[in-house]
Amino acid sequence: MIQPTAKGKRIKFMMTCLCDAFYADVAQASYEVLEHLGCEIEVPAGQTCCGQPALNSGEWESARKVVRHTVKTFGGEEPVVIPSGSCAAMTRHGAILGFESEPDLDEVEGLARRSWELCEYIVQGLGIDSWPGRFDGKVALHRSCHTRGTKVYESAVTLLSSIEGLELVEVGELEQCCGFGGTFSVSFPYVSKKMGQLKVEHLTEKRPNYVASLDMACMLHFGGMMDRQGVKTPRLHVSQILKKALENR
Amino acid sequence: MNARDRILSKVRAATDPLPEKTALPDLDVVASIGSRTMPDAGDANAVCATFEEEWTKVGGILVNDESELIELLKSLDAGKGYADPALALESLKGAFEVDDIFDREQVDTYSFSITRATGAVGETGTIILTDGDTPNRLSALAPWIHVAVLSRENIEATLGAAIPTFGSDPSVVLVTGPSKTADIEGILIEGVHGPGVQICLLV
Amino acid sequence: MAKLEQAIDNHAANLDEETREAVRLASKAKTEKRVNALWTDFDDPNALRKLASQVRQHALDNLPDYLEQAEAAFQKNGVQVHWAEDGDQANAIVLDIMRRRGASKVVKSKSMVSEETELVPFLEKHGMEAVETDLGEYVVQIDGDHPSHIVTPIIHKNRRQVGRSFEREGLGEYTEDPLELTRMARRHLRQKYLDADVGMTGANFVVAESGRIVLVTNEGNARFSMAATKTHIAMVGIEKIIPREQDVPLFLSLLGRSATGQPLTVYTQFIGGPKSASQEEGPEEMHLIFLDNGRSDILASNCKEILRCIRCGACMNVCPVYRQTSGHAYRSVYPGPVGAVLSPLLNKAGFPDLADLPKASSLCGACQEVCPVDIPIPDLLLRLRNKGKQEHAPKTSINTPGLSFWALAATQPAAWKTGLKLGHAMNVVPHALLDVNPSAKSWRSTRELPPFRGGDFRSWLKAHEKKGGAS
Ligand code: SF4
Repeated sequence: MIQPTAKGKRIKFMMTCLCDAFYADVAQASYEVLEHLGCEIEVPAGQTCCGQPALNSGEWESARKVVRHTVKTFGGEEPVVIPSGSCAAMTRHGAILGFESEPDLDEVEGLARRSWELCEYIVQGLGIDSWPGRFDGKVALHRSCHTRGTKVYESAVTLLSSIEGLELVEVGELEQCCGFGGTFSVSFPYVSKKMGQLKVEHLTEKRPNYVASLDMACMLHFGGMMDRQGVKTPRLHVSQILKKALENR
Repeated sequence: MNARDRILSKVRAATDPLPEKTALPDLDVVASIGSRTMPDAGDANAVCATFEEEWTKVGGILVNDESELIELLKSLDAGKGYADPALALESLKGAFEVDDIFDREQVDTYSFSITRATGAVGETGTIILTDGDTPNRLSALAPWIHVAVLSRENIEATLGAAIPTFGSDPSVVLVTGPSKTADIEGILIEGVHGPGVQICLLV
Repeated sequence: MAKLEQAIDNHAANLDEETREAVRLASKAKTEKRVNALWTDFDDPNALRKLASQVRQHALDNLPDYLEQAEAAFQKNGVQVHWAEDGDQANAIVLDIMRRRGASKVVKSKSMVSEETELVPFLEKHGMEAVETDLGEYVVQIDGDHPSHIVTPIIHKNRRQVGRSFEREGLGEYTEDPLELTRMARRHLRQKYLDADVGMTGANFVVAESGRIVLVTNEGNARFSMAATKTHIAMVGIEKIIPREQDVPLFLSLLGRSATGQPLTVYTQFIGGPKSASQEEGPEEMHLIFLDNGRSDILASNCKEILRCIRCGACMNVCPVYRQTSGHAYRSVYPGPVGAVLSPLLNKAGFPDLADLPKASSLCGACQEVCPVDIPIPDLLLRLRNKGKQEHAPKTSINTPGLSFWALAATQPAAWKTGLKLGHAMNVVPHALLDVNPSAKSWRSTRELPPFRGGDFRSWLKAHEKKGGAS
């Protein structure tokens, strides 16, 4: 996993395809958080998806087309900030895997060195380790799998635990996956369901007021299961908590 | 070409084109991986103390002299035993029937055996048995109770320090506690094929 | 063509609840033990994993030289070295040695390579008696079953099943007390050792420098196989090489803790040759069989890192998929994440038959995080998925929607945006999530989908920018 080095407050924002299609409010909260930090944000209109679905399905030819498009859309030197650990892992690691023997590997690596997950950008990139404002409630934070090997999860913990009124509750078996895995969730529906059920149990075990995630993909899955099971605990992306805290200054 | 040459040539064909080969880490780097239980190699008392502590932790029993051993064996209802004649355990022979030849035809009639430990490892609580110091491999393995007689001077701090003492012995066995299994439902049972009671007599 | 079933998912769905919970809880317990052992004993276990990974990769990158060095060192120690390109050759070598020695009975300690070559059924077919001596493997043998885990072979069985099997085989009266069951096996197998002519083992490590194999067991069965018999045969994969004897402590530290949470397995044997002259018991001959069986092909492939594996089982213990499916779902000797990579590559029947294994993963990466030799298992799974697609292996694509149309849209912003705007979500966002059939059906069987809000953020942003940004 390449660790990003690009610094500065002039940034490009990758909204992610899931936010583009389903979670406009998460993209908006992330944008406003970045605005609050004084970032000069560009949102390339031509952006689509990072290409991960195709890479994970083994359709590397297709994946490479999408990655090339993304590399082009996000050209430049600025940090690229992404409200998703998974999409960041794709641009920083997955994409490179798919380009190992391609002539334009360099360009893909270039994007990798500029790609930050949102919390990681705030804490590691900007050097901010506490968050202003107030947010009342107990929060169970899901450690999404694609944050392994990075400082994303610990950055989020740093920010959240610094917020007044917010208490992070313990989540059991943190290393276990929620069972999404992209197409895995539909091609292995039974195993995926069992994994999701366990994840919902662990996330709600300590009776939190909110369940939070760094990745809307995971939330799409375990959230969809919570809805089906009638588990009413509200769910928020970390950026939404940061934004709500700002509103309570 | 025979199988050997075909395999080796395939392996060569796979590795020859590698643009660069992973370097072998230096020995001192590899050897520096001591755990928190690693004693200071220069301090013989510390090495011995660590051995005693770790050996007990892994389920081994420690005795400090022959009379203590006799008491322990009595409390374990030991019957006939075998002892390596080189050990010359005279008072033991007064207390138990002790053979000095291990008869494989009567393997299940020995309730205990006493053999020499070549050395030990402090860090892990391990005793070292070798072909050279064990006249009969079965004797140290088959009876329910095995006693290894270990000289304090032969305890090394780490396995790495013990390896050079192996020499060219063809069968070095590191024993870290009694034989055990957790194959059935993960439940720990001691004494599967080897000794269920593993004693170390420190001399 | 008949519709292909997702065999692993089906296996999981049909597993009885008791077995599933047993496997999951045992795996979870082992995972916790591993974490405790490593983090209590070391400041930075990850540094150890990286170091071990480097030593193993170095050995693989230089394998031909090390194999030759090992061969010479073993021969110097009086070991007869044999080479087998596949399982059939390896089995034939064993049979030949036995015939030459006038042997008819072999006691075997647990070895995954001999599972690969199906040695026991082969020997039995040729009139030999072959007995597995690891407690779990013995149960597997008498039940005509297969191991479901590489370290704990009967993780899928409970004590009552073992009790019934022992009663059936005449080991004693029915009991479900694990202690009594273990004693029964002790008594029964004791005689088998004493009667046997040959002790058969694998090896955990092969030390090139010294010509020794390193073998670990907790039960003491490998030790017994080499105490009571007159011939020792060790069958090992050619990838098992460790360069130096001083590398061994690093690997033992990781192996015991990763496999069972032990700082060191109870019996760790360094074996280099037949018994010494003064020794009363033990093998007069030692044979070492180097087995290739597909490994040299893997070494030449883009999945060569899998050969670093030291068979600790940690990746299956932590794997959420393994925990739900148990090992038999993988239809091969090596289950779990390591098996999902290794088995399709070793599979004699060819890759396509097991091309669904690399798909049985959410790519969560827990396996790599625990692997003592830091094998990038998720990357290798991805490479095999790509291989499956390129070779048109149908099992690579079971219930997986094609993404080429999606990819087309994702490279054309105009098409993408139109799709979002018109709400033609199904044509634009990952089909995997929304394709009408079967994916959406499969999705909706247990989960709700959030409302589609295609393009809303883009609209907000436009308005927001018009307003002049942050208020
Ligand atoms: S792949 Fe790694 S974790 Fe899995 S069995 Fe092999 S060494 Fe252990």
